[in-house]
Amino acid sequence: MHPLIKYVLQRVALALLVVWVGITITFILSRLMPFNAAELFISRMLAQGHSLTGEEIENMKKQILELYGLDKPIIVQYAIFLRNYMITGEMGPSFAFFPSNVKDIIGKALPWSITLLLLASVISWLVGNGLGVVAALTKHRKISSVLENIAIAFQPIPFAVLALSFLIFYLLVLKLPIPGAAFVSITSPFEMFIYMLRRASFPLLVLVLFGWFGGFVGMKAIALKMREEDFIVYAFLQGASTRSIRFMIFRNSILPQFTTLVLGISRVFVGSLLVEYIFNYPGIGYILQSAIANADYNLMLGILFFATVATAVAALILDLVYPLIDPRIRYPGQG
Amino acid sequence: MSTMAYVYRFKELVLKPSFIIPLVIFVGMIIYAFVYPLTLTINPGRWYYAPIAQPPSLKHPFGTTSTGQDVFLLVPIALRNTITISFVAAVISVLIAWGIGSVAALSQSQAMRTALLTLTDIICVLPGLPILMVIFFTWRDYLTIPLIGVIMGLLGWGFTARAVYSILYSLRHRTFVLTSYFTGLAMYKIVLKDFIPYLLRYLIINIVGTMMWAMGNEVTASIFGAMKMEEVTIGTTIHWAMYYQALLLGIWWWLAMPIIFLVIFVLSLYILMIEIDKYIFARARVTWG
Repeated sequence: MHPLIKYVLQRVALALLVVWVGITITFILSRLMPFNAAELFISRMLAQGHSLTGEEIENMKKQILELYGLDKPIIVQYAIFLRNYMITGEMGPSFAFFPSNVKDIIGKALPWSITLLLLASVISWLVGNGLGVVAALTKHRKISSVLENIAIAFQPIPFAVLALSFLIFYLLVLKLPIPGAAFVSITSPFEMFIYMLRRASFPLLVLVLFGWFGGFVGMKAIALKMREEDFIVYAFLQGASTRSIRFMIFRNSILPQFTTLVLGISRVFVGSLLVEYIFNYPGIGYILQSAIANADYNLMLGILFFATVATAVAALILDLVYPLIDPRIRYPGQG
Repeated sequence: MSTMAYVYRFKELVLKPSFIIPLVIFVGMIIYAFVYPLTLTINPGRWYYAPIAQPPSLKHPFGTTSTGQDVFLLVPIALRNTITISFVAAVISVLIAWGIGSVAALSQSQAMRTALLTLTDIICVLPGLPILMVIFFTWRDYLTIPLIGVIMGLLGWGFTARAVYSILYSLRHRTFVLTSYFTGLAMYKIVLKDFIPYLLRYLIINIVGTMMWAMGNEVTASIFGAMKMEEVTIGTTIHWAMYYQALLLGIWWWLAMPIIFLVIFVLSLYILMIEIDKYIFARARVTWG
């Protein structure tokens, strides 16, 4: 088999495996809940003042119980759950956004989240690694050490704390408004995308501002080592220009760093969830907050599943880009 | 070992300002978080024992909250709980990571290695935080502070396991280990002299790294409200401050104090780790290598 095909198949298999594990965890959590989902849902509907007749209540209860299949053996329940989540997308009604279905609510939020997640992880990775190479090769030692000290000082601090400190600083010290985007009517997918980018720009700024440290520190270390490698010294002795040497170092240091981009996605996701909530960006983080505030368990489980899908898809996309930058995978017979 | 070699002595480490200053801050924080609350006669998590929304003053050095709590009494409890959660999480996850990473690296069976590495990859890619939030929110009535740490630890070992795997895998094939082996050094001596100094470094780095990951998760989950909200932690304090619009009302100390203390704690711990790591690294090269 061509190594490229083998590689792609392996990656797709891994993504599917991640999604399957995500569903299984969702299933286990939904069965271990310390209360009856159907009863809870209906009692809360009534408490909110929805006027329901006895017949409607019974029907709804039956539907929810059927949806969960709580009366059947656990293996059958699992099979039904898999079918509902993977094929029919039937995840039941949402309480927070009643009477919308969980599927529809998440379906609307998911593209927003994946866009922000991919942009944030790729841009902060590029900025971090770009700065890392420059810092390793520059003659201006001062700038490089200032950057390094900033990165080392900020790297250990949890992103949530950095984002909140930034918010305090931005609102109370700079006294600036948070840029939002007015709602506009959208006719084409292209306009939609532009609108999305505009909405995403401020959350993205915050994510990138505090997201480049890891890439920077790693890249600087690798690039400093790479500078001593034989092939770089050889190119230097051959009289290669500084620019081409710089490019060679960047090109070769980027391979090990790419792994951190893919594996770091779930960590970037934590940040993007929070930023979505803080800056009212209509992604998964935003609806997750509503789900928690309204104790909407159906929606939470749906989000849990789709969060897995979002990170698995984002990781898969990045994995499929990898052969483009690593020629060893593209050509057969190479290690 | 040549007698001329430079030895990084313990005394030298202890006298270094970049070690002493973070150490003093770190110990001070630990005393403030773990010893000081023992002297309190009231539960600082309770509401309305202090005047509402007072700015920092002599009587209330860090100000008070809109819910009538004294931030000076609230912060140590919050810090204590957050440190406990993150430490428990770090111990659990590092134990799992070291178990899985070392079995994967040292096992002779290719199938075992592939299975464990795939599992590690899955754990790395899985979005741990939403899973944690659903667990914390659903079982919030049953949670205790250490239990929160245990649950985080069970989900947070992916990155550490990968790192441990690559360290051990490369260590196994290093020349100096092979040299020891072929010169007939006993197995336990190879482990003691060649492996342990290396691994000790990474053990400290892993524990501190996972603690910071867990603190981030605690704060993020709490901001969303997916936590045992009546427990005082750094995250829940921030949550309630945001819930009562502290920023809008200008009660910045409610939000800023927990953040400042968390940042100072994290940084002092981190710098301590770097200094200890440098020391172990230097000693490993000169005396044990």
